[in-house]
Amino acid sequence: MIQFHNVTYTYNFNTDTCKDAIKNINLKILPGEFLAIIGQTGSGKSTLVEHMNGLKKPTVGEVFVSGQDIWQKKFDITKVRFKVGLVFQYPEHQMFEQDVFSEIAFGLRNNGIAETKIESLIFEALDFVGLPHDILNSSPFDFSGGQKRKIAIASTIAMQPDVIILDEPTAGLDPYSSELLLKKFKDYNKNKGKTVILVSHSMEEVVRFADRVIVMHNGEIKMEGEPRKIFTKVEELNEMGLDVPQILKVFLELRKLGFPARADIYTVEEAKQEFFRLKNLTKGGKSFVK
Amino acid sequence: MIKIENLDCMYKTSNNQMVQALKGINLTINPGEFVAIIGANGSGKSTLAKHMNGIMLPKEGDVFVFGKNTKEEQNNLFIKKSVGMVFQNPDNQFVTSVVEEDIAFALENLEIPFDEMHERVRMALECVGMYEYKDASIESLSGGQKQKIAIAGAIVMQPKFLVFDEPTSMLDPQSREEICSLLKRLNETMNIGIIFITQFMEEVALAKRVIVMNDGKIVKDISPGCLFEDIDFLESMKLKAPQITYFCLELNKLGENINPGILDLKECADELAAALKGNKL
Repeated sequence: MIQFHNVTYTYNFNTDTCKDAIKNINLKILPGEFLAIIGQTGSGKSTLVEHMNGLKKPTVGEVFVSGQDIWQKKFDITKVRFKVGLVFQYPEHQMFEQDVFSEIAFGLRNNGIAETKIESLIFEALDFVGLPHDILNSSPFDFSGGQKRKIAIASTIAMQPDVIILDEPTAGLDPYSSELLLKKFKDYNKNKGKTVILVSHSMEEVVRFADRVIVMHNGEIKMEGEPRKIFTKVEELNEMGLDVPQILKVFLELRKLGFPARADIYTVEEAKQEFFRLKNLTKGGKSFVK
Repeated sequence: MIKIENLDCMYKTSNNQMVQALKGINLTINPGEFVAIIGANGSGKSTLAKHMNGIMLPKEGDVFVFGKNTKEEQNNLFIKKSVGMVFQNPDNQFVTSVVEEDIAFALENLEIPFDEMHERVRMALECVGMYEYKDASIESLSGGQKQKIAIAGAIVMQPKFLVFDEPTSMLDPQSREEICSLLKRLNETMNIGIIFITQFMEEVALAKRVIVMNDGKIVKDISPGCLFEDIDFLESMKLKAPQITYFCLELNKLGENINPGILDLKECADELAAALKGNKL
């Protein structure tokens, strides 16, 4: 479990240019949860997640991981990094090893995993992201952007962290690869009981995969709850520069045209049902059009 | 116009394996067109784009920009002026730290007179709606704003074509929408030809023509509306249609008379409303 207690992080603390990146955050993330974080660029999402594995230290407040205050003096912060894996935005920009094997093995070796066990963990990680085993001797730089992304994700997954944080993992990936990857993370969450934290700009992804969503704006948590409930607040979301799923917008347009359409339609299946419900109503001779 | 003839592109990996990124590409793009290029990761989109303004030069085949071959060195400046390029990562495209200086940079190198340079920088910044930020440090801008500055830096050269390689993939939804409407404006009001690579299928609707790439080849050259009707083809290319296309197709299958080629949300709502009203006694 990860817990934030009154966390504020201030850039350039004690200078004229100081600015709070996140302000007074209180947050509890439960084991086995699939949590989404949404918000405009600059709203504090990345700063927030960088506190979850001790990459950033709060200016004020405490962060607890499994009940342990991770910045307590005697505590070894590196322990947190193996428990909570963070996949950065565009992780492929930060690869550095000569071959794929060493790239994925890097974290495992640092974590003191025996060489004899490393290979099987690497194979498992490659299967997870859907890459073939015969790439291990190639340079990570020989691959396309999408494949590099998968290699970078495999190097975090290989550590089998209890919590994995993904900062816009599907940005720039083709729709097929995005879908595949998210389904794998849902599996990791459901079947292995691991916690998944997803930072995303895709509202369709959030509705489909997350149990809970938090909405960040100007460094604060402005809303939190079930995605299906949060997305009914279209106007507030728009004001924060956020979007809602495309299909919902069509039904909101229908409402404007006078039809009593539901305002919580997020999937094609729901849209279909709602269309035929409206059709049955109009069959009865009712007219909704002004 | 941009004309690509029998273009192949091979490169060697670190294991000395040869990879063919482009295979026999033939393509003509006319002035003022708005063309989207889509395809799975690794299908060759970016490699193709980089051949359009001479960042990459053909080893096999030719690329002509208004009849001038990109391979001939004396054409280099003409080609760079005619075809501008904007990339995915807003942070990697700047040479100076202040907005106005960055836009002026290329013009200074061309020894454009000071007054004219000033005027062109002003127009470019106004065009992307960023003139008030002319003295700002680029560092202080958001991702979407940086992308607008990168676009201003390209249009200050008064290009005939602009190539955008996934310019929206790092942006939040609002910035994405702003960039999309900017592209539309550049195309419609300034008649700049746009070549737009994207992974967001809803954005493809901006274009009049879509090119689908797979495994280094152009496999389809079609209008967006017709493209999305063929879901099986799209999925075989590791692509998808927008959510509303799936919905309209489903309704069609169930006997509703809904045009599945609709990509505009309002039009879609109107079409649904008409189908619902059709039932009115």
